[in-house]
Amino acid sequence: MARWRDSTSRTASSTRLIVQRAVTVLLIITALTLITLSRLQNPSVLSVRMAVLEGLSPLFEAMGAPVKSWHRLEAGVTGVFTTHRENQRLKRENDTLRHWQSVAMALRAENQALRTLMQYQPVEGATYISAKVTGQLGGTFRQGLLINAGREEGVQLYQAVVDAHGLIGRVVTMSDHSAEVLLMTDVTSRIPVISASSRDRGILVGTGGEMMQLAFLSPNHQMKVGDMVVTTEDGGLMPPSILVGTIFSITKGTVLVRPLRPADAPEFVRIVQHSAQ
Amino acid sequence: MKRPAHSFTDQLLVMTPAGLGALLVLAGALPPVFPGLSFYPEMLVLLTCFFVIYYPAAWPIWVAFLLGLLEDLVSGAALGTHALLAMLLTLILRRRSARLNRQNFRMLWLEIAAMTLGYLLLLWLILSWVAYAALPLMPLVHSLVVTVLWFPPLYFLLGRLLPYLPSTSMR
Repeated sequence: MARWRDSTSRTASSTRLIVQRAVTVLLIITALTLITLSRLQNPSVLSVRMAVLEGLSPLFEAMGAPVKSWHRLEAGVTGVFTTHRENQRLKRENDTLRHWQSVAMALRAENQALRTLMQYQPVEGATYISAKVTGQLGGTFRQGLLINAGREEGVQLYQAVVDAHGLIGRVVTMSDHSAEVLLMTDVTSRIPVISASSRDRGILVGTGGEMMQLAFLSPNHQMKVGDMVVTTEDGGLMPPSILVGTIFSITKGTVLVRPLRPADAPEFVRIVQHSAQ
Repeated sequence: MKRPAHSFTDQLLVMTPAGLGALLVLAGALPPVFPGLSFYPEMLVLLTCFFVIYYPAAWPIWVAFLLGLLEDLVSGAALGTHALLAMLLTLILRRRSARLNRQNFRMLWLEIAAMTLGYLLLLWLILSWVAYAALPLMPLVHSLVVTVLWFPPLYFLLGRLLPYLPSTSMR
């Protein structure tokens, strides 16, 4: 009887071991298949991923509420102590902007006159879709945002996403009511840009840090530190002239660009719908 | 002396680390407290290391797989990447857990640092393969430092949790 019980328990434990090993092998094969399908940008995998993220976004918002409240409180407290200095800065900025407003009005009139003379047909302007940032998707090698606008709201793949300071990134995956925005600082981000003053073209490459690097520049480029960098229509991906950042440093052919926008994630963004897309 | 896990409540308690792991992985999607400075570690690596060594009943291979998938979603990595790596880490740690369990803290920390480095290098390799380009290594170095520095406080806090968990046959 005891020998029979021993043999039954041995069989049960060896069966359990076999099942455990089979489950392990099955899960490893599943993971490898998922990685391969992700590499091939399989639409089913991407849509399942976005559907799950869309389902999780209320949870992200709920969990992120205390951090956002902290940021608001911090901004409020800092604001109390810097009101006078900020007021002086805004007055100076206002004076500068008044000057530029008069320059812009004169240029607009001149531009209008030249367009009439050349019979130029202007490209239609962009329209925007506003969205709320519901989560930050980020790991060691990835920087992204989850927003609450998707296919149903008219968002399309690769559209540019901006906030009040300029370009943030572009849409890389989406579901019906959510989309993932790949930040321009992400290591896989590549954006065609042009220097606003020297008109040198290049590709803006994310580094995963605060700065971005300019690649594929002409060896004889005329860029200078402080120059403004904007998007260009090259490749048909981006609408033109969206502010990206300023040249931060030029050393041994390496040109670093600092984004204009502050490092904290925005609460709201706009997706640019460009007529050329 | 811990009481064995028999009741339904005890079974639920055994799964507490997995639930805690899910919450901590989801916390990776929160905006950083200091804008622009992310000091959030590879939480899945730390949790896997701790629980496979000190409470393996809470960390079966399917838990590592599911938490890995969750990490993939939150981190924006290719689906399956962290799931695969978390499973591999679990399998490696299971083989070495008896030895690691007896080691002093400094040696354990050193081994965890080495495993984190291996994990991140494999992550870099897979994500470079997925992206069709070699990704820069600087984010890896940053993540390695942050993760390794997070281990002592997490070890201390999770160590406080262990006495409240029921004993299991796998311990």
